[in-house]
Amino acid sequence: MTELSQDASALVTELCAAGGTAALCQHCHTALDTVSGVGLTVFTGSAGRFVVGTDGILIDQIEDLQISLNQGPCLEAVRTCRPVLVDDLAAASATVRWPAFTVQARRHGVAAVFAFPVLVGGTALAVLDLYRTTAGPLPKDDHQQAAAYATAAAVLLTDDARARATAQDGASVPAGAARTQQALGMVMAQDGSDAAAALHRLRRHAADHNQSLAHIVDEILTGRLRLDPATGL
Amino acid sequence: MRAAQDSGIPYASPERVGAALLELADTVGDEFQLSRFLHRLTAHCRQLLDTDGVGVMLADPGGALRLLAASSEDTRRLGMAELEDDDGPCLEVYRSGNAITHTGFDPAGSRWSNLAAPARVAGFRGCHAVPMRHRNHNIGVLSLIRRIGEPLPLDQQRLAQTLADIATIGLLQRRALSAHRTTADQLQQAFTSRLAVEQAKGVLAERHKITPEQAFQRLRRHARNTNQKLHNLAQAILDGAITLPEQSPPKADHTRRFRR
Repeated sequence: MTELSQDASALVTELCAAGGTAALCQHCHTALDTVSGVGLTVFTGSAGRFVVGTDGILIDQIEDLQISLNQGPCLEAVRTCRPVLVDDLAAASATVRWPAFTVQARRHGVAAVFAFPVLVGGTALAVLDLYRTTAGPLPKDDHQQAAAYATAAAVLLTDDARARATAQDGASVPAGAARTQQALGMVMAQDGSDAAAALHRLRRHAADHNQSLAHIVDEILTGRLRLDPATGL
Repeated sequence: MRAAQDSGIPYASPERVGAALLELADTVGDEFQLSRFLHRLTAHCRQLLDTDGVGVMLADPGGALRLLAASSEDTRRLGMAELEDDDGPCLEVYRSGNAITHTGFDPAGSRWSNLAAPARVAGFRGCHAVPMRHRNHNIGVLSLIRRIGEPLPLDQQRLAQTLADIATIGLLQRRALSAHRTTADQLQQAFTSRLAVEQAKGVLAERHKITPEQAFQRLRRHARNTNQKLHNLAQAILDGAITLPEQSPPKADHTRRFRR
């Protein structure tokens, strides 16, 4: 790992005290109070997506759109290993790059998206996504802070992955993230869908019912909710 | 052994030397291949230095030298003979860390007479071998073999060491990069494993009408009883390759405790 900046180093200490990776998105959202939401997603291999944390109402839909449409700033940040800052989703520069994503994201009320890759050894292990409901550039201080959060995320996720190197069930993850995956497994067993489709359905259900993904996950896990295979909802 | 002098022969124009150094320093690209890199190193040596054969030996993870590149079959045979006998100028250079000029690959020569036969077949009379080392990393030896029994001119000796130095730094950089990549892959794998385990818990919970925590206990027990890794079992369940029996099998731990 490259040497940490003082900002990121202090942040890692602070986040560890606050609960580690599980606290990162909320912490970042509080620090950058002009943004409307923050999400942290680990990219596992070609198709795997592990949503490690979210904070903010629309972030699940933003992440879902990018994955189901297979386009958007977060995917580009992972591919290029550089931050992708989109001040205004209505601007021609954005609509040309991501025609479907920009239209649908704006329909949800999102005006700007800022994606920061979480780099470990030159590879993007995850992406830290920020969105805002108003257009305009990310202020310089916020940009620096977001970059520091991405660096801190690299340190925390590395620790998470190594924490249980001897255990056989893989990286340590926040309880909420684990519960989401368990709910996906239940939906997969209910109707034979794959993990990506199951996640998409849970997120759509949450959006359509104006509820958080975490709430829908609870409903599924307790058996109070079963998605109807016929309609996919 | 005669004293070496500057050659004064313009084998190497500054432009050609510069281009060679630049190429050897660039090891960070995705397209890097060790065999091609070493081939380019031997080619540059042949072009820039008054030599008849070039060999590159690198240490394996256990510290033993291996011949990884040779500019000709004769050169390769000479290098292999040295490694088989565990005796010769390259091994000496690797152990001492200092360059050696040897001018007597002939039966009369007192040192390394074991190499006289393969050297004579190829018409080789001597060699100049330089260490490939940087700070405390000693990674191998570059050897320049000659048909004339005279030391390599001093200016060429210096250039040979420079080429070896740059190639060494390039290779060390590459190793550091590969180590990083491995780390990133391993981290990704840890998350992939966890993803599979959590999803499999959900699948089992739904299928057997149990809680995710109970599903995890069954998963762990089955993995232990069938001697497979938890995340492999989880993945097999997700792939539909394995289903667990309806009733959990008797606990192996209990019977063991009873027998003791």
